Order: sequence, then structure tokens, then C-alpha cells
Amino acid sequence: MSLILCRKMASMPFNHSKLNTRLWSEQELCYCIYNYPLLCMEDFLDDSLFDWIETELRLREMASALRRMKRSGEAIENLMLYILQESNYYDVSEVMSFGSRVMELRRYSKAELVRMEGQLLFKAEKYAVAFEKLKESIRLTDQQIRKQADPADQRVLIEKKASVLCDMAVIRLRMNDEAGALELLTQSELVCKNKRSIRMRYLINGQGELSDSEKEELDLLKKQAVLRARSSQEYLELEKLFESDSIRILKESRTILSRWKNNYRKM
Amino acid sequence: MSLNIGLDLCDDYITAYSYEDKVLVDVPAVICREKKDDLWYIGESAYRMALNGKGVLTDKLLSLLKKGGTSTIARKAYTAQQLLGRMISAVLWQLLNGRSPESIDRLVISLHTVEKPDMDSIIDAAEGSGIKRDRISIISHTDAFVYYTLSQSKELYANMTGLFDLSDEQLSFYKMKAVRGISRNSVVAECTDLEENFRIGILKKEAGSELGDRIMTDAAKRCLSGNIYSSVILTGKGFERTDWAKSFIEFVCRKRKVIYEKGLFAIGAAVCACHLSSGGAYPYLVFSDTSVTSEISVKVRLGEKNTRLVLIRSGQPWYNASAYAEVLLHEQDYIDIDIEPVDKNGVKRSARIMLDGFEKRPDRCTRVSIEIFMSSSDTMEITVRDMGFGDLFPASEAVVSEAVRL
Repeated sequence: MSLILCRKMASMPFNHSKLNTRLWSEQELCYCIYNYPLLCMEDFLDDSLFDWIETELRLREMASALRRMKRSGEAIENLMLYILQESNYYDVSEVMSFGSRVMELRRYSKAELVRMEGQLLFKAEKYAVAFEKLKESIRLTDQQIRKQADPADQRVLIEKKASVLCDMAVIRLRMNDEAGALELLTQSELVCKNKRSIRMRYLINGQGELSDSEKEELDLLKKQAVLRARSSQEYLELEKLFESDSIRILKESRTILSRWKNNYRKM
Repeated sequence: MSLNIGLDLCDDYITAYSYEDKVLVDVPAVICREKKDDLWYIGESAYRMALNGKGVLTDKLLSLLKKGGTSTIARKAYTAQQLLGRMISAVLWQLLNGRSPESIDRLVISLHTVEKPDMDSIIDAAEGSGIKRDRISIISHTDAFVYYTLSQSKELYANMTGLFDLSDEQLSFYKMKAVRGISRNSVVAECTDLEENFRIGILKKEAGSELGDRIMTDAAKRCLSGNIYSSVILTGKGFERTDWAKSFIEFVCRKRKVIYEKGLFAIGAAVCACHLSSGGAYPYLVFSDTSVTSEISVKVRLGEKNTRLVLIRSGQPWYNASAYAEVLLHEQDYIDIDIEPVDKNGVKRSARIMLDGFEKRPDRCTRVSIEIFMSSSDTMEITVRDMGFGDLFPASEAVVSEAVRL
């Protein structure tokens, strides 16, 4: 338990284009690197970031060290670790676990990394960009399937493709596009029959080849999810909002719409 | 050459002193506007105009300011601040002998009692003379006494130094002691407004003089007992003549240096102005009745280390004491403010500010600002505001404010 003393925030923010968000402090930079490492790998750690670190955060030594490391061809993961270590936003054990997580990423194929990136963007509520990433993951998976000679390995890739299509259906649902979601589930089933798409279809429109016990289980899950949502902070605040005056409703609606627009941008 | 001015504001007199020119101007704190024309007079001229029936006199401007009062002259209502502003401007023009007050580098105003609500009004009034706001400061009479004394020869403050201020408004006794420290010397000073006071007009008559002398002698015996005083200084209108106070003078002069200094508080304020202009740290840590008597701090993590961030240092005048810091909350939803009295017998404690109503966010994703200012010598106002975490977690409007007694 403690209070972390902060420096003055930057007067000009740094724009994280993938997260579509602006960074105002070294702590925010560390947060993005730690929670979204995949989104900080390609193109992010470049001269424009180092210049911002030097001029806006006034961390000249850090900026110089990062430039030196990049020029000498050091792995991007090392640059990220350096930033986390020097900033002391995360403690030693957290930085070490980050290091292990990032090293693990090397085991994954390009298609899997892109999929994970898409999942991270979904987690960050950047739906449109997440959708595009998953589309790219499908494309890369198709390339892998075409190159794969072994039928067993091909099967694994086909199942992964079907699962990515289900991920895309989830994004469509999040954007209130049921028809689009169902279309993607159909595509997933065409690629290969998978339980996940059948279960999702049942949850959306009550259709699907499932046993009675499976249907009961899903009905219960749906009921519980609805109850949870109705008692969630966001729902209660929304209910309270409609009891307010019209000016407040208008103001808050604008904020919500603006957030949705931001999340759905580039679609 | 810089120009540093001290101004002493009282209800009965305004005294101004120029540090560089060594000039003192002492004017009754009355202002008069001609009934017909928009012409203004101060001091003795004001009295004359009023006595001749040609003008309307307003006095006790400081008291009028505290009450937020106005004065209607020729069917126009003037606020106390406006009248005080004219008064100050006129006094400064008189002091500077034709030079504009805009040429002043630093103006320090001394008051008997410093109260937060009045400070802004007085600075606004002084700003009307053309002096920039950031060049105007306010100190108490106690602080002005300290600045004055420490600018004199060391033998004056080898032991305790006492000061009697006798005016029509009151009789006050000040005392100070300079203490040698290992890292820094310090001064402890305080003021006592004595219950016995008398209108100095009575001193014109023999009976009145005797009474005045008796009162002063008793007061001196009481105030000076129990300590060794190197010197006693006398100031105020009442001591312009001391022929009425034979017993008193005889008593205070025993084994002590006694001096009379006209306009002591204005001179002390000018010394303070000179120090502020130079920009350096004052060689003494001053603890007066207007000083913050505790050190206010908060434990923070800086880099890898836990450390103490001092927000308000003890010894600062309370009316100038304020602090601002920004921190991130790490596994806690409160702020502990540590209060450590300077007095070794005092008890160190913490004031816990609970951050009720602040949004729950992931750990280390809530930045808060901590603002502290002193609303009096023994009370601090703490305000903690939610600043969110950049665009990742936007700020809410959550604010918590508390007043904490030291």
C-alpha cells in the first residue's frame, strides 16, 4: 500500500494509434506496455515515442538509452522491459513476470499473434480495429492451411479458423449486430462443425442441435448473465440517468455515443 | 537600484518606509473627499478639509474593510477597499517624492492581525497603486518585529528582545529569542495584546500621565519577569514622548538597552521586502504566532524508495503556506497526512482522508491531486481530487475536502 509520487503530466500527449488513445504520463505508457504488449511491438517503440519521452516527460536519459538500444538492434521486448524497470510503476516481480509473458509470445505464429492482438483490442473496447485484426488473422491462417501438408496439423488450423470466426461473431454481438453475428457463426460451422458456434447460436436465437441438458445449462447461464448485467454498476447508472432531467440525459447520451463512435471507428 | 517598501497598516496610522532611501512617512489613516469636486486628501490635510466643512472624512479603514463596509460620499458609495487603495497610493506617492509606485520592486504590508479573508482585499487595494500583485506580500507585526530586530546589531538580541507597542488602539507586548542551531539558526517570537490599554490623549494631563506611567510599569514588570532581556524596544504613537513614563523607563532601563523606533513595523516590513527581492533563503527559521507549528507531510514512493514528501514546512507564515502534489493510489483508498509538531512535547499524528465516492479502478490507475492550504494558524484545509488516469480512465468529478486542526 502506498502513494506513488507523480511528475507533472506531459503538456502534449503521445497518440497510441492502435489503442486509439492518448498517453499523458510515463505511468500510462507503462500501463499500456504491461497490459497490451502485443499492441506495443510493431512501430510503437520508435523515434517519435523517444522524442516525446525526452521533451514531454523530461526523461532524457531514458530516451537516449532507448535510442541506443534500438540502433544496436536489441529486441523490442528488451526496450519494453527497460521502460518498465526504469519507471518503477510495476515492482520487480511484476516486471519479471512481464518478461516471461513476452518471451512466451515468440512461440506463437504470426496468425496467432494477430489473433491475440485482436482479442486485446476487443478487451480494450476498440471493436472495429479488433474486427479488422481478426480478419487478418483468418487470412494468415488460410495461408498456413494452404502451406500445411500434414492433414492432422491442417485440421488444427481449420479448427482455429472456426474459433476466430466465433470471436468475430462476439464482436458483432457486442455492436448489437445479431444478423452479422449469426452469419459469421454460419461461416464458422461451414469451416468445421464446432460446439462453440452451436452454443453461441442457441444463446442468440434459441436454435441449434444441442441436448436438453446442454440447453438447460445455457438457459441458466443466460439468465444469470442477464441478472448480473441488471445489477451491474453501469446498468444501475443508466437507469438512474433516465430519472434525471432532460438536459442531463442529453449530455450523458452524447458522452455514451461519443464513446461508441470512438470504439467502432474504422469500420 | 531596487526599491523595497514596507507599509504598516493600522486603523489610526499608515506608516511607510523606503529601505533604500531610508525615508519614513507617517500619516493618520483618514481620507477625505471634497464635497463638490473629486479631490482627495489624506492625513492632516484630510482633517483640515473636514473641519472646514469642505469634505467628508472616513477613518478606521481597516475595520471598515473587515466588516465589508462602504462609505457614501457625495451620493456615491465607496467600498473600504477602494478608499484604502486611494490611501495607500497617496502615501506611497508621498514617500517616493514624485516617483510612481509602479517603480516599486517589492511591497510588504504589515498588519497587527493577519486574517485570510482580508488579505486578498488588502492586496487588491495595494495593486491599485500600479504595483504588480506578485510583488506584494503581507506579514504580521510579529514577523515585522523579527525582521527589524535581526537587521540590527547582535547585542540587541543576544538574549531575549522585548517590544512595547503603544497606540490609541491597543498596547501590545512582543518578545523574541534567537537560538543558534546546528544546521540553521532559529527565532521564536510571540505577541500578547495586553488587557491594560488607554487612550494616549490622557497623557496630555498630569493625572493621565501618572495613570499611564503606572499602567505601563505594571505591564513591564509582568511581561519582563522570568527572562533576561538584552533590550527593550518602544514603538507607537504613545512613546513619541516618554516624559510621562518616568517609572516605566527607569524600570525597563535596568541592565537593558532601551531604544525608541518610530515606524518599527514599517521598517521591519521593508527589511522583509529587501530579503524577498534578493530571492535567497532567510538565514533564520522563524517561529512566530503566525507560523505553522507543525510539519505536514505524506509518505510516498519515489522510484524504488519510500520517502516522506514535506508539503508544508514548519516555520512558514500560515497565510502563505500551501502545497500541491499528485500521486497514484496503490492498493489504498485513503490518504494519510502526517502532522509532526515542532514542539518536542507535541504528539505526532496522522489525519486519514477517506476517498469516499471515488471510482473503483484497477490498481495504480487513479491519480489524485492533493491541495493543502492553511485557513488559520492551526487549521489546514485539505482537498483531494480525482484526476483519473489520462484517457485510459477519464477523471470523475469526485472531490473530498476536509478541515483538519493541527
